[in-house]
Amino acid sequence: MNSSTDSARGPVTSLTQHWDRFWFSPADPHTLALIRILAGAMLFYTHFVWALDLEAFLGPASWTSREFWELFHAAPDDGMVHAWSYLWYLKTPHALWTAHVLALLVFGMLTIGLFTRVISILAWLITVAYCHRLTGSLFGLDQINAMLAMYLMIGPAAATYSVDQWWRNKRAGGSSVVQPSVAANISIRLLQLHMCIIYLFGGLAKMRGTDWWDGSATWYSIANLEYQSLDMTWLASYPILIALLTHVTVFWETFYCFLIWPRLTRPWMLAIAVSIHGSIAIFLGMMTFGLVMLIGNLAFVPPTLMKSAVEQTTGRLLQFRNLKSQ
Amino acid sequence: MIPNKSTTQFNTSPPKLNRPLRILISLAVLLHLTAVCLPPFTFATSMRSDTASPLALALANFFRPYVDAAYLGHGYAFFAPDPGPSHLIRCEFEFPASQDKTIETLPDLDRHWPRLLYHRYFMLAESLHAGFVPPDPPPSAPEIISANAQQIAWEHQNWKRLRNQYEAQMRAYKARLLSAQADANRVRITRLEHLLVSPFEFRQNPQSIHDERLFVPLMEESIKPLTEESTP
Repeated sequence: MNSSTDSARGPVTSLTQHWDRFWFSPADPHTLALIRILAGAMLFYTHFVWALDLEAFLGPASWTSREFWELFHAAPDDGMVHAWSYLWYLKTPHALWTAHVLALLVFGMLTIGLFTRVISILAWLITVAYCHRLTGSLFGLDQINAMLAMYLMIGPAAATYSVDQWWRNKRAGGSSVVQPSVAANISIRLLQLHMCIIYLFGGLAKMRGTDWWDGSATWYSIANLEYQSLDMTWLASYPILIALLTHVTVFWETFYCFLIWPRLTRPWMLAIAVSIHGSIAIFLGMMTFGLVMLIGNLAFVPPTLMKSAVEQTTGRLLQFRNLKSQ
Repeated sequence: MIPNKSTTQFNTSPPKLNRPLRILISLAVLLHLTAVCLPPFTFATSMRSDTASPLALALANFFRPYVDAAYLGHGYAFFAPDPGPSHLIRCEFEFPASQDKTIETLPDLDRHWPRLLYHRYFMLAESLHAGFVPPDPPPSAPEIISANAQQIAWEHQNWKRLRNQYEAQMRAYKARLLSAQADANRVRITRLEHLLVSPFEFRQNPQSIHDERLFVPLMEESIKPLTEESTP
């Protein structure tokens, strides 16, 4: 009786230990901190671009009317609207511009890591408020922006590479040690799993199409003149290459959630991510979307590697600066 | 999903959080990840625009407040199921003082810069097209004899909801366009589909990709089924 209870308890205990190790082991915050800088800069740029046509998108006679917005967001069964945005209450251009400049300030502070504990929460609230308000003009970039902002709220995103850390060191009169933390691990784990979910369903959705199976989908992406930013139609002469790119994209997306974890396959999956998202950025006119997906992929770069890469880069920059000053 | 020990980046020290807190966080994480999975799962199970797996729908309804409030309701179907043609909108402005008409097309690479702003206008045109619902309700009995009354009523209600949504979006676009063109008194919006050429067509004639005839105006009206009176 006891032995059967023990043998049943064995796998459960092992599962619990795996779960605890996966979620609750302290991790260095360097990866999270670099994601904060890059995601913060992307949020700043995304919202800066809204400012170029602010009243058309957020003013009283904007592309998205309140009437359309309520109908769009109402649940089909009970008509309840759970989307929310404070931007609906800003009726005058002055109020709108003030709120927008404040939003840009928040994203700027997130990027440099100033008062990050509070600012990261504000950044997420502002990001979601803009996404909800701007129904109809959004795309993948906004979805990933909101995802990154959400997970940056959880962990100590400014534990390093930030003004907050510089300020802490200054007050302590020396450099403080960057401590590993459970919250940093939870943030990164959530981001990793969210990326896996995105790619899995992205791959499954492509598997429902015919062009992704017959190998022509890459052609129809590069031949779309509304997306095209660099002409790659010369690939039409290389149908086998087009088919190869198409099949690799589908298989990479679908199996990313499995192959990104083992040490053997992770570098390959990340290398393909760089080529695919880099191509989207350069050839398909979506620089921001391509880059934001790569920022999401950084979640799979171990903090030790991230730390040494940053140290090497800053070391080289300092060397270069010293050489120039001599 | 659980990684190999050697691939993880964390320290091997034991968890520092106490057990009740770990259980609480674990529950929150599981609920959150379920909420993240549900919208793309529901989308993946919908074979028609108005239906999906009953299980997916039931779970999605339960999680809807959180999913909607946190902006998590996405299908993640980028360029899927197929990278189809683009959709644009052509806006024809009429002016009371003259017979002249001004035509604008959205998006417009020459006017909308930087590229991200262009993409915002592109998405406005795409979302109008994606929300298009014909002005007439779907055919009901006697055309759909096998369908029961409840199903017909539901389909009619769904059509009405989506049609109202489309009309509201169209009204908003017209109001926006007229507010930017102060002299105009009327604007007519036409959805355009920019057809794609196949690699075969392109190899035959590389200029075919720039053919103006690939911009096809889309109808706003429903296609009426042929009746005995309308057939010669």
